Amino acid sequence: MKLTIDQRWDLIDKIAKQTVTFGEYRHTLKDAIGELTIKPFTGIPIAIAVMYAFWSIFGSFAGFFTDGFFVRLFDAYWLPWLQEVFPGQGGWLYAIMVDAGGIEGGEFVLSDNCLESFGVLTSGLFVAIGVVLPAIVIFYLMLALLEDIGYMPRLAVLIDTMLHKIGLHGYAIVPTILSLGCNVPGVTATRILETKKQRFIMMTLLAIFIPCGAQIGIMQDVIPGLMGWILLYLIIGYFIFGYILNKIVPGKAPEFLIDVPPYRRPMLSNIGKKVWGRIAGFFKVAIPFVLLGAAIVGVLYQLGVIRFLGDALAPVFVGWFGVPKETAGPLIAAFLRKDLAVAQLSVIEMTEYQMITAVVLVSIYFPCVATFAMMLKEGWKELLGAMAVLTVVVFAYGGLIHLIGILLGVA
Amino acid sequence: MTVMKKVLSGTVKGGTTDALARELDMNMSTLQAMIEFLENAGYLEIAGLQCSCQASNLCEKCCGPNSGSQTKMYALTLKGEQFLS
Repeated sequence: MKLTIDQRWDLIDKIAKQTVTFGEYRHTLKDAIGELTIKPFTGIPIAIAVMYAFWSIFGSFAGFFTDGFFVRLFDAYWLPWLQEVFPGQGGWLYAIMVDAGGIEGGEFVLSDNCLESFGVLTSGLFVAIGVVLPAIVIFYLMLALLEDIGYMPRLAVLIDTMLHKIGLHGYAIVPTILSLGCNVPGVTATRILETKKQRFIMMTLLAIFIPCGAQIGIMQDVIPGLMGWILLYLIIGYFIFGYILNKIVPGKAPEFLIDVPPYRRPMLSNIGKKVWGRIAGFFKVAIPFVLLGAAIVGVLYQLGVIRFLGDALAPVFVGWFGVPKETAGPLIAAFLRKDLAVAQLSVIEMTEYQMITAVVLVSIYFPCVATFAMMLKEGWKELLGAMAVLTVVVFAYGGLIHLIGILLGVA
Repeated sequence: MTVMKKVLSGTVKGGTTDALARELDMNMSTLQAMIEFLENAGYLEIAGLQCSCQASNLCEKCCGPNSGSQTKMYALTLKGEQFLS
């Protein structure tokens, strides 16, 4: 009698069950931790605790270096020195490179801190080195540690079911978390997703709902009390619009059988290579864009373009989004530098809810130029599709947040 | 349903190999051998060897022979789908 393949496997299974006896396996601590972190009942609370610890360490480390060291260095020494030595005070080059200043009582007044000076060599450098660098160093260090011990695959398995609701699978957590450092490697990492549909959904959601390390760093610095609400709105939006995209975008989102590797001791050399590689990438790709963005924003302000667009679009911002008309300028400038836009928003007088709405709008608004360029590299059709979705999302979600504020009586 | 069909159906449902071995009351090493066979015979394919730095220039640096952190993801092939239906 000739057996088919599956009959043979049935026979193998039966013979194995009857003949092979296994000694009692003694669970090691590694096995126990492995099971605890992958079963939903214990794994979800552990994941929440890990993420809480992640953000607490992130906030403390970044805050310590930014407020304790870089703010003093830039505001007390670098800014006054540049204001002194850079020629042509009050001129357009001075405004773009050092300090746009302000007019008080008809006189030109210099800024007293790097967040408000908006110069390439002051605000641009301060944001890049003083705010973003400490934030991404600690962010990538902790991420590399979680990857190297083998926690990330378990986190991926844990949220796999949830991410399937939006057409993705558990490993979509990798580009999502990477994007919290910088959207550029996040967009590149969407290649780990298998189908076109998944890559499109992921890229669109990253571009819209995931704030980068620069933006998070500056939010932590200027509006720490509102960060929780802003991130909550972004997470809710990520899932709502992910669910809608999964329903309307054609294509497959297949299920997988996942073989998770065991936990292991982290290797210092691996962590060092990953952190260094990512920070080097940030220096090469993102920092030139931060400085270029600051320069272009400065030029557009000097030419009056942003003021003109701000005035023209003010009725939309006030009527539809419920934010003051002064926010129109920073929201337009957000296309070039989201972090600087948050810094600009922080000095505008508005209610807490308006501030939450404005910062959420900055996040879901156009991706920064570096991300835009990276998306273009992945394919112009995908980029156009993502931009079309983005336009709809900005108006729909921005309007919805305003409506929620009206219903709650806070807008 | 035969064991092979159960394993292939388990792949369609998604999940981990550990959970599937428990669900089918199979020994993990038997299941791993079966998955290896199913892959060689073209019923399953490795959809991804995941490592978070994959798709960037970091992958070859961090996923070298000593990294050990890669996760294998198996998906059903057309042959596997036909076998199930």
